[in-house]
Amino acid sequence: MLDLMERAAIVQQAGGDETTRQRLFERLWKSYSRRLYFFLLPFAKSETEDRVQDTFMKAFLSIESYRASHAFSTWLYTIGIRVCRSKIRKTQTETFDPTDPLSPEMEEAITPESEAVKLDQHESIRNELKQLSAEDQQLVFLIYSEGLSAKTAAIILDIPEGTVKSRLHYLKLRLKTGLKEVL
Amino acid sequence: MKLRKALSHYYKNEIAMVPEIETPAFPKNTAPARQPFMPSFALYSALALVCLLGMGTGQCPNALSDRIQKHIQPEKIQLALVSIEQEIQKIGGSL
Repeated sequence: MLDLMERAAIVQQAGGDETTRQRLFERLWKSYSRRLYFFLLPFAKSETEDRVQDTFMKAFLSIESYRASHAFSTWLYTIGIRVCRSKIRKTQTETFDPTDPLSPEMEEAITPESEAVKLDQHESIRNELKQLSAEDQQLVFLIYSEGLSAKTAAIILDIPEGTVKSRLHYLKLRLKTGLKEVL
Repeated sequence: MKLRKALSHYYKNEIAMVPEIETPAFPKNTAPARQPFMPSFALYSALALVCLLGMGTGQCPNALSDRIQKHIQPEKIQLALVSIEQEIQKIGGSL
């Protein structure tokens, strides 16, 4: 119900005056930029920050086309995917290398010495996820972090729902096998 | 279940560690210009239908609205109204 109210508020404020719209822009940036960054990271790599900014600008320039029938994150992620794909098509150089490390800032931040067991699990999950394709990483993120349904994930990733379900089945088995030592 | 919990926890931590991203400049002057509302034939028809329904059931539209609100969650009505307003704004009107 809270989500419905949030959607209604976004639609209402998007049609407001410039101050209201600016406040909305700042609020949405604060709420969604980090999640969007993490979602686009497998695709955009070193250019993720730019892609997050591009996505937000593009989304906000057409905010009137946002429909309250979908969650705002669903709409935003769909735009993010399109922005990344379009950029990749243009440059034809950006390819995902699963062995590449995450951004230096993220690597540096993971140093809690006291939580050795958690860290071990954390590192194992990170390593397992890195072995997946960019699209599979995004699918796992949408399902397990954002709690979306297979149907919504299919809309965002622009693939059939059946494909999402079969991929998820395979991914679950793969992750369970790969992480059985730490789960 | 363990996998779901572990992944959920992993993502929560990872997102918290995402570095601060510079906020892009707010795109100004993007608000759609509001024009005087010209009710369409469809809108008049819908209003007429609501009034007829009210008369048909022996109730004025307000009483009918109260009855509807008892059965439908107010938040959903609000969402529907916002969607209708958005559609009207698209054709250059306002409520």
